[in-house]
Amino acid sequence: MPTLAKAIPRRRARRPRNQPVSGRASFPEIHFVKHIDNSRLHREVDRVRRRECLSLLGLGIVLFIFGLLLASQHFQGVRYGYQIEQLKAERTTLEEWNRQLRLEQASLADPQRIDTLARRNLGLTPPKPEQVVPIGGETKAPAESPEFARVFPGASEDPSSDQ
Amino acid sequence: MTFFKPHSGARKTGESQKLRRNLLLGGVLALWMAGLLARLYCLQVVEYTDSLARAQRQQQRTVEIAPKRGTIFDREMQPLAMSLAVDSVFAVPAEISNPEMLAGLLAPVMGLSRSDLAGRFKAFRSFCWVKRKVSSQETARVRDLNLKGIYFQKEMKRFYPKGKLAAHVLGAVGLDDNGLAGLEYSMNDAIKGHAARVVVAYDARGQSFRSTELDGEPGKNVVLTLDENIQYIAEKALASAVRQWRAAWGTAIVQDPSTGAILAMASQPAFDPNEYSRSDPHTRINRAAGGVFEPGSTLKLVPLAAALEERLTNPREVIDCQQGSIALAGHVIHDHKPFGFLTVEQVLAQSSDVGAIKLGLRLGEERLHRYMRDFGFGSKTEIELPGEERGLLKSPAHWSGISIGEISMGQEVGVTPLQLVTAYSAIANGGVLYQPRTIQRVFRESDQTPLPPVAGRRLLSERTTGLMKQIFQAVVESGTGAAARLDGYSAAGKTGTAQKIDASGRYSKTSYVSSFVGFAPISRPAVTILVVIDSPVGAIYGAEVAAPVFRSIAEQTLGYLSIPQDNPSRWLQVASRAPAGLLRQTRGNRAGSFPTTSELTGAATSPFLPVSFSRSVAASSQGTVVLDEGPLFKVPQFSHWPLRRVAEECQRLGLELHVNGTGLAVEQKPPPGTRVREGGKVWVRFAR
Repeated sequence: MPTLAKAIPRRRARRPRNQPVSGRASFPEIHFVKHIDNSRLHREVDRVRRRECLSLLGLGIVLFIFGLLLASQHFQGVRYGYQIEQLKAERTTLEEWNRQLRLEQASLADPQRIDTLARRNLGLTPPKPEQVVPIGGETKAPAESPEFARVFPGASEDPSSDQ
Repeated sequence: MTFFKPHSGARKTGESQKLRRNLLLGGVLALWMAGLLARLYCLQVVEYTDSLARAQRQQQRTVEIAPKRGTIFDREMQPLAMSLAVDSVFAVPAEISNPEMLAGLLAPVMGLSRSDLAGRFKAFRSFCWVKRKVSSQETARVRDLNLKGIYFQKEMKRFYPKGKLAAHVLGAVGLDDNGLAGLEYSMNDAIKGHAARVVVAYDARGQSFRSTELDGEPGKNVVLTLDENIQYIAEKALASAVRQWRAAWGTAIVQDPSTGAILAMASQPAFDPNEYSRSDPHTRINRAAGGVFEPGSTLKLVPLAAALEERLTNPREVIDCQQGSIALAGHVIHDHKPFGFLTVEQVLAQSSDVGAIKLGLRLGEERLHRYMRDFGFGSKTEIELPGEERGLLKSPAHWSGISIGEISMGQEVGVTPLQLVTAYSAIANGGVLYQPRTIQRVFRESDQTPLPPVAGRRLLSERTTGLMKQIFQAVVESGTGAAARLDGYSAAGKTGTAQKIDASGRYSKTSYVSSFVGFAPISRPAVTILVVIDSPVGAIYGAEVAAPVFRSIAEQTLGYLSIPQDNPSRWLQVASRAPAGLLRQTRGNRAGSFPTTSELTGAATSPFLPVSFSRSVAASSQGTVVLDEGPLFKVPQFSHWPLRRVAEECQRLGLELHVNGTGLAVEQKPPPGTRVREGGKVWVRFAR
């Protein structure tokens, strides 16, 4: 490739400070311009390397996604942990409240309290035996208790007539 | 185009430089990795334990959770004792700059002494309790003050929602949640449970995000055989009697004779377990299990049952009661009345000591002692309650000449009320002695351990117990226990009046223990009830002091248990308004049998009887009462009536009501307008 060289025309100008003073020897400065044209150069495609690169990239992406997934799951787990703790605290509070209510219910159902209210506020008294109405069940009369005989329609009033 | 190939030497130099650079980079990276791995190894392997401990110290806290005591229920699952988490207030004195001022603020709010509180703040540095297990109002007031150095901690507090009810059975717990008395004490291991450790992980802001519970086990729940309503009935009747007779103490026990289960156990005076520390120690004694007393005539059960079992006598045998005195080993024992000849049945009905002594003498010392032991006297019943006494029963080797007589009449022997009621239950159930018990089952949500089945020991034959029942029934019907006669139910029992031993060691002339023990109804006893009143003032006899309490408890309890009436109370009511002669005849009847024809005939003509009743007695023949079926009624329209109204209307018309469902009547059978006779059945379905 040809190399062009030409002298750069000197101009009269103020001598720069770093230039030698006149009368002293000076060296010409030569600027070489090298034109390189690689336009017709074609790099040969290395398919194996490319595949390797792509595989590596794919693996990296998979690993990244996996990591991301792992991290998100971890943080989701932590978030769930907070929620679980909050719900546990809420459950404990509600259970305690439930127990308080049951205690209150038990206090209100105290027989002495009910007895007092029934007697003082409502004027109730314990029922007498004849006021008790047995409901629903057959009265289990003891075996030795006698029963009243009854006159059934159509039956003879004289027991001996049955014989 | 010309391609310049680099000079081979230069290329080699470039490659070697590149290689060097790569090697250098690789080396640096390898060193870095090695450093990292080394540090990682150091952290994960060498310093693992220390690092873990440091991390846990920073991130985790282990909190000890106090175990929740199990709930105690009655047999209807009504809670009698339960625990709730309440706040306890504590201080960190190191954080308190002015203890005097803080004490001045806290003391009036919490009802504490200011100087005491300030002293505590000065005496301790890192921790001191201000007040434990405070009320929610106190907590709110202290929180409002927002004081530095004052903190709250949750602790379990025991509550007894029914107050004094069954206090002696339940017992109480102390400030540290350990049982101090009653079942709370004896069942402490099962009820208390084990403390749980909770490991809590905290983030940088101190907020928990993970917790793990370790080792904890809540206490087991206990279901008692007690019924809170029967307990209330017993306590109320007993308290009333103790108050009326200004007695030193009293106790009442209601037992199911068929299983030995205690339905109620009352002692007076009583205490409130919510205020256990402030209660009088005298009130904390469970007299039912730990009150030993000389039973007196109620113990005549043993010589009589033994003599009948050994066929040494029968209820009809006549015994000479020697006009109320008998000489024994140089001592003369007197009856409370001079009796002549009495049948064995009358010996018990009239409570003749001489008759009982004669039966005891027939048995002999060894046999009487053996029966006493078999009935459970002189040994603990092994009920679950603490403080049970075994009583006092000497072996025959230590008996004096008079001992056999004294023991036959219920003296020179100490029994507990529990032993006595259990012995009478054996008569009531046909001769099987069951161990009394107050616990039905013990359970946890995840652990339903059934208790072993109830096992009894055959003590007497059914023949003997049948005869004993008749004799005890006679005591109530025509003997000393008339005040124990029930309205609507047959009853049997025995009165007891025993002299107490005074300070001089002799039997007191003024201080007595009055008792009554019996069961009802006779044919199928549902309850055995014992009432003991110690040192009553104004009356001394069990018939006068204890028998009415028995009656009050028995009538209400049998009604509450829906035990069918087996005594014609309605007729007795009518007869009670009839002339005195008729009343005597009717009351003289054996309970469980209806009035005789003549009584009915007399009653039918009585102006006091309701018209319908008078009409119903139409004819009689040979001791059998024949009733006319009476007029026909129209069945009313019950539609949309409440149960109470339907029941009242059926009662008014004399119809037998059968109910299905709750709410308002929606269906009935027979349909409205159907003509039925008195006593006819009506089925009514209710719905909401």
